[in-house]
Amino acid sequence: MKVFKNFAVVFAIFLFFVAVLSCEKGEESRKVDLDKRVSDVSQLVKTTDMGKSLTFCFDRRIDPSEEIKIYGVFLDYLEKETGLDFTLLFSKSYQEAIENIGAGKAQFAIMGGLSFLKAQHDYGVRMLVKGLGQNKKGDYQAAIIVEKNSPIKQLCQLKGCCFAFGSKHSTQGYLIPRYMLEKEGVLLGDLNKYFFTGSHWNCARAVIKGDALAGGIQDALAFRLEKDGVIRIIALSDYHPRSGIAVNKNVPEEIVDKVKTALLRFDPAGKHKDGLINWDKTEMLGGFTDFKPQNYDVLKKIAEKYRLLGDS
Amino acid sequence: MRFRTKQMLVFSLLMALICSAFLIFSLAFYKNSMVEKAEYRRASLTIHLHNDIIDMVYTGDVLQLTAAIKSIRSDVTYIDYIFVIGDNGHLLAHTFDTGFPSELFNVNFLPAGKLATSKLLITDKGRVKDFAIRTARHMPGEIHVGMNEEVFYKQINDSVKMTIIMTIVCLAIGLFLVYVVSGYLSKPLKNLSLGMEKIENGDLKYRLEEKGDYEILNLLRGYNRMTESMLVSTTRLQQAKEALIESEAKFRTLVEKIPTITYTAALDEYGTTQYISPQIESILGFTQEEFKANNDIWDKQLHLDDRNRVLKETAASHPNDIPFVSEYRMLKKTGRTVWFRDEAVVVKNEAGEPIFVQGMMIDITESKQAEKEKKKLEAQLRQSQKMEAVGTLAGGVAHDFNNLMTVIIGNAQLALMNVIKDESIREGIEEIKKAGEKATSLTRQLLAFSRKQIIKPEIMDLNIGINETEKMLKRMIGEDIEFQTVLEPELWKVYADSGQIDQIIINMVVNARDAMPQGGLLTIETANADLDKNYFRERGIHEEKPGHYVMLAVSDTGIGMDKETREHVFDPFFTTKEVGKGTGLGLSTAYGIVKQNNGFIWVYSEPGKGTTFKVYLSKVEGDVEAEEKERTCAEHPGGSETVLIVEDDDSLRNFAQKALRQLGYKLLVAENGEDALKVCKEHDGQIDLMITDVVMPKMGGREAVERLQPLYPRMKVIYMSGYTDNAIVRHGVLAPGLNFLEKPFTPKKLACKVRETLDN
Ligand SMILES: Nc1ncnc2c1ncn2[C@@H]1O[C@H](COP(=O)(O)OP(=O)(O)OP(=O)(O)O)[C@@H](O)[C@H]1O
Ligand SMILES: [Mg+2]
Repeated sequence: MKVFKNFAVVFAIFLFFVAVLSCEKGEESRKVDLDKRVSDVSQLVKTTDMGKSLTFCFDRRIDPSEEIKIYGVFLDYLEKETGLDFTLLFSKSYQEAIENIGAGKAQFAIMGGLSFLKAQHDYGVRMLVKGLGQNKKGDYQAAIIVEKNSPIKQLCQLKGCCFAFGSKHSTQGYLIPRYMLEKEGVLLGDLNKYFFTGSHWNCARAVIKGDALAGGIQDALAFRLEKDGVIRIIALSDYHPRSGIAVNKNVPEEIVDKVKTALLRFDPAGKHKDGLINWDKTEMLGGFTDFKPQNYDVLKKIAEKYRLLGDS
Repeated sequence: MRFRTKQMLVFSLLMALICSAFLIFSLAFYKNSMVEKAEYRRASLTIHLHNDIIDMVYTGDVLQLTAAIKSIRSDVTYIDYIFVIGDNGHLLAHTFDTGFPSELFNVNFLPAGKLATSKLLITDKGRVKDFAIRTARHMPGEIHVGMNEEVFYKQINDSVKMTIIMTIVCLAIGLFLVYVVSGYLSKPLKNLSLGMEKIENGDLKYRLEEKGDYEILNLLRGYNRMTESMLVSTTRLQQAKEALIESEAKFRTLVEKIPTITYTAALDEYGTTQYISPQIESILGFTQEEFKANNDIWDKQLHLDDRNRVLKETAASHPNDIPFVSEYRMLKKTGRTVWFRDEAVVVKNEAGEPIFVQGMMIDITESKQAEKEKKKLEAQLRQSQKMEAVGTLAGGVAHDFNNLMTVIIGNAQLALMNVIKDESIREGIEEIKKAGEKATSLTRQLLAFSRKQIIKPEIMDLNIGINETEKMLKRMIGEDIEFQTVLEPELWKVYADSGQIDQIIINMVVNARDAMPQGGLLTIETANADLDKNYFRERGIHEEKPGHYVMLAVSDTGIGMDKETREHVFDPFFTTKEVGKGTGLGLSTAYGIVKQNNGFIWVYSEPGKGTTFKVYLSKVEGDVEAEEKERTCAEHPGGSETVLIVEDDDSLRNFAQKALRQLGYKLLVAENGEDALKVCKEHDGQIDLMITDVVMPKMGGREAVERLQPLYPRMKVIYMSGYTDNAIVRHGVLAPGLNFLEKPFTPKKLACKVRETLDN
């Protein structure tokens, strides 16, 4: 009987543990009626607290998913360096980017010369740092490309041709290529047809597809595509200052300083290389350097010449 | 608790413990890991989904996106819905067919800086978990996937359920196996216990079936061997026990049933009783327990007269290892005396040391009494022999004396009849006759006293008998005792032998005298008594004989009797008198006589208050007249018949001859029987009456009568005798039909008897 009693006690303790352990942690739940439907979904706005973070605006160039990754990790770096929160915002066009940063929808934006000059002109946007290219070069070129097997070898041959530009506000995709054409005597009017594809990538694609005989794109993409054997570069421009990171005029100075410091310290080829994804596909593959206002003087003159600022 | 039950219990507890442990393990860890895995699966699904659609999200191809998510939703059963919110916070695409559930839109909030979150929703389709994931890092866009918990967890729950069921099934199978195995294990035990039960109930012949595994087989065989040897030894034991019981019973009956007390006593100061057989109670009145409890009881109950002697004897025998043999008296509880013969020996152990005394006390009271009785009887015998001698002497003397007196008185009478002229001679003869009569009466008394008188019942008046003996009685009782008679004048007659009545009265008077050594009053009383049934009933007499009785009472104021004496007074040879004074026959004879006469006798007595004996005799109703006739017989009736007188005594023969001749009878005389035969031969003619003595030389009266009777059939016979004589009298009582003339007789008595016999 004693044995039996001992067993009973052990068993009781055991059952207690079973009971305790089998109690699952209750998860908070909400009741939702899935039958209450609305057909006009435009009224539905997602509540989000993204607004309290700083928004960084990028141009969308190649592949959105890829760019998300590329800039995502970059923002990770910034967040880590500054202790601030950043949200990514892609602008579909240069104009949109100008408006985003100008109107304060984004606090920071990566901007080419032309876009910046326009944003500065329209909204008083400041340039924070200038991007560095390969080998930490602070300047870039624009490239005029043709299809790989195109017979065209010189710019002058382009008269009467169909020409593709990138964005209307693109420095490398419009301002400099137009300047290069005009320098060789090919005015816009000399062209059979010209059109804006919206991005370097679209422009290259138009050329490759044959929508246009030639196109003007940034040098980095041109070199890569030529390397891939898809296109041929027929002309490269002079060097011009690269794109930089602009800041909205209302952003507090200490945040601007923090971000500027972080950006200048950014060393994508060196110590920060490991955390990055495809950073070399960006405009700032060499990192950043201090921006001097006179850097854009040449471009400003060209832009003013083409009346791209102000009253365009 | 039964072994099997216990086994079952222990095993089932163990099994339950193990199974529950397993269950808990499964539920707590396995399930968790499954859930984790599942969560992981859902997460990776979500990530895949994200990868698949992210391009579409950012290229803004809403139609393609919608188609993509719809196809994913239909591919994965547990996905209830998918919807995508663009970076601008507006719904981009969703899988609902018609409209969008507005409540769903903002239900799961994904905070800034977080990449994913989930929320449990309760919908009418069951629980749905809404997983929200950012379209990209640092992007405000969100992808929401609703995963149905019910469907999703159904698998997990199913496997958990399966586990539980399997556990229960295993438990059940385990229990069944335990049941079977425990049954298999406990079966031999059960068999064994059955066997034990059989043994307990005394059935040693029961054997267990020898089958099973090696150990169990050994056990069963061992058990069977054990019962076998038990059977053998119990049988032996039983036999020995029975023998023991038998012998014990034998000895016990021997010890407890023989009329002897056996005992063992310690060798201590008191001789403390260790055992005493139960006969002690019936013999001495003390129980065994009483005897054992009081170690001085034996000592105390010893008769005072024997005590010192017995104690001395024990003291001399026991310590010296001499067998103790002694006869002594002890007092019963009631105070009566018991005689014991006590024989005891000292019993020793193996070492030769005395342990106790063992002995037996034989109740010898009866033999002691018998011894006493024997002594008394011897005295009585001597007394009766003396009496016999006296009787014989008296008889012998009386015979001749009576003959002489018959002659003297007869002749005196005859002389008086003839010689009447000379007055002085006449007076002298008269005196002779008187003296002779006195002598006759004396002889009578003498014979009565020696019980040699002849019994001849007759109708009589008790008062007359009393009056006749009064003088003699007075002489016997002496002068210290006042004698008084209270007689009923109209007393009824009784039929009895006057001699016997005298005997009764004399004895009772003598007893009364002996009871009054200091003197007192002695009363003889007679009365008529009508006894009805009540009289007998009151006295507890079964034989009821109501009727008329004559009472004779003898009372004294003497020492009286206690109850025990009273009960024994009528016993023959019961006497309290010293040897030589009494034989104890007096009252027993009286009792016999009274009974013979259809009467009864009572004694009333208290110690110190005197005694009364009452004798009741039946009243005689009829024949008083006939008796009266004899009394009124004529002075000297005569006759002319021929009478043969046979008498060896010459003078008596002559006297009878003379008396009868005077009355006119023709006479033949003979000296004895032979002579009588001779006389008859010579005589021609009838003989009417023969008067003969009984005892005569050559031929007695009786033989002579037997010889002559055939020759003279009409001859009548009168016997003459002075005392009992076997020839005519049996046991002292006269044979009926015989005519008897008691010696001594007077001429008148002779004349009357002769006439009476002839006339009958
Ligand atoms: N009147 C009496 N008073 C006291 N005791 C009597 C009396 N009559 C008889 N007994 C007792 O009865 C006993 C028996 O009497 P019973 O006449 O039979 O014998 P007995 O007189 O002793 O001897 P026996 O008469 O033969 O000479 C006497 O011994 C006496 O003890
Ligand atoms: Mg007597």
